[in-house]
Amino acid sequence: MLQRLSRYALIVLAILVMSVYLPMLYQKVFVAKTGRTHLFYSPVIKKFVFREIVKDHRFLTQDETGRDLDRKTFETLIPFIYYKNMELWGLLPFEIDGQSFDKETIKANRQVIELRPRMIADRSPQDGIYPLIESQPDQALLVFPEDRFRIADRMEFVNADNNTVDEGLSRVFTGAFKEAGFKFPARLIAGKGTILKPFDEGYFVVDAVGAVFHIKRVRGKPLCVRTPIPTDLGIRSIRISENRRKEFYGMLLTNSGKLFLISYDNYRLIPLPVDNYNPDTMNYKLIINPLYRTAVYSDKTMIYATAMTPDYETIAGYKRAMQASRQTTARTFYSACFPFSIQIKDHTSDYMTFDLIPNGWKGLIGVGLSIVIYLLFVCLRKHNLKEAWPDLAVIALSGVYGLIAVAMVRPDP
Amino acid sequence: MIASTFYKEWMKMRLYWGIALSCHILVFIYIYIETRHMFILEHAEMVWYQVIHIHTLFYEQIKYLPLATGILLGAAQFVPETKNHRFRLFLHLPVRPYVLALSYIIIGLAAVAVICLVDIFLLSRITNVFFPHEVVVRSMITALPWLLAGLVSFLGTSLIVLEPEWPRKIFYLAVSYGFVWLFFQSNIPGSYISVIGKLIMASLFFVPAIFLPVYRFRNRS
Repeated sequence: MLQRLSRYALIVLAILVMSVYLPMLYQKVFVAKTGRTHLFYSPVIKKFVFREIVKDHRFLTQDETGRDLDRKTFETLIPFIYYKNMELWGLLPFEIDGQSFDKETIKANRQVIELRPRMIADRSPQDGIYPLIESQPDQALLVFPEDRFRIADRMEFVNADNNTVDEGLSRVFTGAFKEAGFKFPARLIAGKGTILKPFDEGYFVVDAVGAVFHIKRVRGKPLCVRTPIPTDLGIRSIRISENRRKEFYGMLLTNSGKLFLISYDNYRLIPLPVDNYNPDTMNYKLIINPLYRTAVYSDKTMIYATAMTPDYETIAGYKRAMQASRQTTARTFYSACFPFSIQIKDHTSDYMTFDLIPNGWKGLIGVGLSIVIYLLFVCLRKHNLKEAWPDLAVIALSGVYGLIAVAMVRPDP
Repeated sequence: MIASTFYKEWMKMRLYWGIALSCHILVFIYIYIETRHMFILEHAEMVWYQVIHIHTLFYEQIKYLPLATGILLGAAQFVPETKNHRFRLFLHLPVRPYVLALSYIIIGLAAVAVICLVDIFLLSRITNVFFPHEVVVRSMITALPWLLAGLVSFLGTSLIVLEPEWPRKIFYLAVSYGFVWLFFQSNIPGSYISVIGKLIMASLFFVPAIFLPVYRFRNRS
């Protein structure tokens, strides 16, 4: 009995390992990697244009009506993206809708902000201790402070030089928070803890009751503002991105999947289009140029885009199936060969996974074939089928993995 | 009988265990010196930035050390037993084979686990000297899969060494190698926190799995 249990423990281990590595190996060898679709709204023809890698490094470049475009035409249709090429080709300044755009105007009025699933607070391990950079440094560049802060039952600064709590600074900043009405502890701390940015806007901190506070270090002193952002919004994540345009501080994602920009206009929330948007699987990109805002979001299967006016009024929408979602022979064979796989890495999160991903009904083909091969083996070897049923059950549950495992770890006579 | 087995196994392993422990301690001394040196060369806040924000693993030198220790102790324990079929004699002692095998595994696992605990202790002490407690906690979580890999590599090595037939040895090698490699798939600090429970549960299958080569060893060699 123990011998049998021991054998099945080994078989389970073998199935686990094979279901991680065999699908991975198959994908690497047989499934051609197709790139993502790059989708833009053309301010020139007022249509969506896209470019995607089809196969063998070939590009498909078209507008939304299906008209093929060569590379140069494609780039001239989205001149705010390729303004450096426009300059090289002597096409600057250019005119659209009676407005003239030179290099400086374009540079000053373009911005891209992105929210990838792994940027969402609960989808990656958080630092837990952050630098509060001086917002008005007495020099040209931002510099790192000698301390970092954490917020539990107070705002606490830890000095890096001696790795001890700076009681004085902690008291001053905790006092500023309390004065602004902050309820400890913090639910969420969001900021950009780097000096590789044009200026510093500090941190947005969500308190225990859901109120959002904006904290900055100005000339060494705290500047704490309770924002008018509703406390019942159910904030899931905030992504701050300082930009010289100073239109918005960053993006705010709610638990219900709504997405807003936090504007510089007294923290007014600007809603962004989120039809079919799934924050856990989709990359969301907001592309801003002097004439339009385009929200583009996609996962492995679909890409959606909404073009908007500078006031975020929707003017056009477009959706397209991604190349990676299209069925190929290699992908069909993959589904038929492996009934499931264990996914250990997920590009949408920095956390490791150990999730069983079923391959749908096609996986039953592989399971059926594995059972037939095993039965043939049993008949040829003239084994007793009654004794073989547990192995058969293993194969029925795990297909080719079970077949290999059972064949390699055969029962002893 | 079991107590005597523990003693015998300890006598057999103690030299290798001592060597492994010394290597671990030496590597931690090196990590301490290297980390201290980082703080001498750079401003403390920049070192913190590199470790906390950029995720520089200042203790990366220990990454494969528990794995190597598991393999060393597994081999030290079972290679001499399989030579001249000595293990077969033990399996005919008046104790059930699986109890005897379990006692072997327990002493081996305990030897690896003690070194892992020393690692955890030293890592937490060194990290605590230079970094805030958030980094201490994250370092522990980051090193945990590496330490578990040490325990699993011990079990995997035992499985391979005890198996009498070469084709199966190779298959067990592939399974053990593939399983252990699951613990080294990400360098992002704290990324294993979500799966460590599942990996521990799956690792437990190695314990009953070892009884199969034990029985095969007794019956075939």
